[in-house]
Amino acid sequence: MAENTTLSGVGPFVKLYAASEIQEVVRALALESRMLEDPAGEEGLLFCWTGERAVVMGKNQNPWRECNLDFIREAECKLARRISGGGTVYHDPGNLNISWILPRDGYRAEQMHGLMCRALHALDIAAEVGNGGSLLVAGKKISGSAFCYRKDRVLHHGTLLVDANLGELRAALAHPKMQMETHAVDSVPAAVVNLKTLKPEINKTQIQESLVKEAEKVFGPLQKLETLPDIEKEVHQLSSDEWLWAQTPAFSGQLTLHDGREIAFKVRKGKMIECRVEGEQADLMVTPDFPAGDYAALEKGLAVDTGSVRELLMRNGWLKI
Amino acid sequence: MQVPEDLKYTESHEWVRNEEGLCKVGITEFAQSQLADLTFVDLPEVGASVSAGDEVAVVESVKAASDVYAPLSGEIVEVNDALSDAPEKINEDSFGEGWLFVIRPSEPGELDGLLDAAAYRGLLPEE
Repeated sequence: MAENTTLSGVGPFVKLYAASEIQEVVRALALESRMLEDPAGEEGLLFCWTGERAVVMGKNQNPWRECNLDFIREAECKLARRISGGGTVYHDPGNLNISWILPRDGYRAEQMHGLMCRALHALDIAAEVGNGGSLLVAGKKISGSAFCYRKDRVLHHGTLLVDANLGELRAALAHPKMQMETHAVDSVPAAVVNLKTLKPEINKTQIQESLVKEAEKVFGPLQKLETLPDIEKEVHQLSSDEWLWAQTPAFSGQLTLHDGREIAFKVRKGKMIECRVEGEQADLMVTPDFPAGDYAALEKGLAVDTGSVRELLMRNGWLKI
Repeated sequence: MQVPEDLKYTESHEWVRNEEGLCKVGITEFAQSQLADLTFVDLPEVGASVSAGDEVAVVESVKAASDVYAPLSGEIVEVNDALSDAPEKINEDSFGEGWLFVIRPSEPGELDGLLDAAAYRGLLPEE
């Protein structure tokens, strides 16, 4: 257990924002991003929130590889990309999300993990810290955590499974069998459990109160964040196609044409930048948007019907939602 | 914590080595030590023109994404492609083989505005 309190003794500089309403995920992520950039710089924040149903991938991940896009579309679940690293997670109103925004100087991840464990111990939940900052009870994961360092500040956040729909969690994160090569970051599946299963009478409010109590032991009294900053710029950026899809690290995929010819393509920054047919470079003329761009030049070169490449991409799971 | 005397630094933990007018950029030992084992690097494109303070690269370790900012304005003339297969070079040798990109500065005066080793050392937590 991390007893060290590196960040303490500098006065009550951490504010608290406990959102009582269910948050739109993209707005909660935007608030984190905005607070991380806070030019005032000196203040920390503990932001506790619960979001609508959503699948949230890490900054450097590939949605076609990490998410079950068919499920997400059919279940009308939201899809988002966060600014921190790590793997894809599922959120619903049964999660309690905990976000810390702190100065980088003096911050240590273990200190925050220790604090969160102590808050759970106070509720008789035997939480411990697992690999990569996940929180475990009896070997099963109750929370992951992810981090974003920007300039002199750090975002440390995680999502605690209190009473989430684990069936939907598994369905949403089921890996599609897409053939691709990429350096993008992998998700690491883990056995999970809801806190409610371990302790049926528990609720999110109790956990939040216990967390605030532990935080105040380290940081001093947490004053409420009275005025929320304007986050429209961040909401716009995090909702954009550019962020959700084109941010995907470069990857290569494969397709088989109706006549059996093999196509290998490369996608970077949301565009198909290269395509080989049976190993021979094909002429794309332009770099079409991926996946729903104009592949007319490629189709002409392949002597296949107009629109058939796009259709084949979609049929193989290369779709946007 | 190593802070070589012959480099310039930014408050966001990048280092800059002036090599006859071209500036090589990486992240400092302190930055890599906070991130632990790096698993992913996204570098800018050669030819891209950047302004000082732009987010130009991303490194990721186990679950921690860290944005890297251009310390100077100018053109990206070279990137360290070897890192995409071996991001751990940044951990092993952050001031050497773990360099990220080279900028040809368009405003060479900006270099004087960066921190020297003593000033940068002052930003780091006491060991």
